[in-house]
Amino acid sequence: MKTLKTFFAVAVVALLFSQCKYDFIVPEEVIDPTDPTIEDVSFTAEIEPIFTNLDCIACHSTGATSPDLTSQNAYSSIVPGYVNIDNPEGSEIYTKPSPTGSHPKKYSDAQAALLLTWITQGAQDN
Amino acid sequence: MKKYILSVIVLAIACNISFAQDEEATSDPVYAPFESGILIDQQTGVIPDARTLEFIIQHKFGAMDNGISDLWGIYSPGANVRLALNYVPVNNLQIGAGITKKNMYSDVNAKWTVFEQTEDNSMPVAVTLYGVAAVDGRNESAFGTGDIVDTKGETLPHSVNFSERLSYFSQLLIGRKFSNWFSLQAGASFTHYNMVGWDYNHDVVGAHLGGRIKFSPQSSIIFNYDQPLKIQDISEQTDWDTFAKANFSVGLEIATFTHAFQIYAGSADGILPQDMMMYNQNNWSNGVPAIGFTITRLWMF
Repeated sequence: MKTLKTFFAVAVVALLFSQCKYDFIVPEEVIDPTDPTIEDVSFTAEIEPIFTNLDCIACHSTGATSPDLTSQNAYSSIVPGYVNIDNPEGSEIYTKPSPTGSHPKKYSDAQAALLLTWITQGAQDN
Repeated sequence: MKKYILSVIVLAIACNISFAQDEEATSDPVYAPFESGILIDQQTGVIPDARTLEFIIQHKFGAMDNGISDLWGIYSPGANVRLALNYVPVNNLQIGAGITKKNMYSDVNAKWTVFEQTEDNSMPVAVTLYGVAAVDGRNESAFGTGDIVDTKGETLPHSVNFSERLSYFSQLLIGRKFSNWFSLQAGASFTHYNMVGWDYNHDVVGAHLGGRIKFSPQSSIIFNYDQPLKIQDISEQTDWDTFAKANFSVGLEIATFTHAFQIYAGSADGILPQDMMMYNQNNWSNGVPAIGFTITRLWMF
């Protein structure tokens, strides 16, 4: 019984210190891939970090599941095999991890738009 | 001869059952309303005796939607796993802690069986309270911009702190062992996330149903159903696009005195209950349940 009392005392104190918050994550800005005035998207500065931040490279690493998305090899392994410049929206690198798909890792809306813009601009190694 | 042996066995079992029914009911708690404290994705009212340590491995493979190409998810990369320890300091109270791969959750939990069902039906049901608090341990880059805005406050850049990562789940469960082969439980729950994405709700109320159909001394068919409820009054959104889908799992349980082994197919990829009530987008109609299993081991001190 004493243990039970101690437990509830600890639980009450813990509840007093924990707090319920109602915070939202501010959404990222989603760019419009069809906007011709938009600046060139940089592969190394903007696309590669997506693969690292989403932890795609947990599976898509050198010697493992293709394509190899580690930073040294990402460009050569996705262009041209996974990129379709004539039909950017049909590119496998864009469709497979789409925000509404069932791939284990999914792009956010902003990441998907950034990638589509990069392909629309010619999938440059910049 | 074979027929003779068979009839003796049948007679013995029949007598055993009739003798068992003749036993006088007492106010003692019923024996094993469920085989273990876990029923696939739910808890049960079962708590081991005081000073018992329990080790739990819960594992879910990836979704089955790719069929044989990844052996129904077994070779798929989308697996999830939770390792946990529970301890029972006094009878009917259990405390525990665990770690989960998805979202790098670390959780602490407590379960209290307030009333146990008794043999003489002076208490016809078991009443259990269960609570989980979890911390999302991912790197800040996993939270998009990392900028936070309170419902009424101003935008705070890069403010994903400890309290933002917390989520809570609390549940009331009412269960009854109807007979040696059939037990059922129903529950209600409240889930709260301190920080969610722009188009999610912070609070979710859920309804739960689970049961066991025992078909041999060690084996049972088990199922659970968890339904997040669409309650407009507590919703912060104008639509239900991101709202979690119901979780339904069905499986087989093989239990001994100190072990339980459950293998099942279920919809949710999350293992923690709050994650299921908030983020489960898989269901059986879009064909993406996953295979999973749970192993528990008890040590009595």
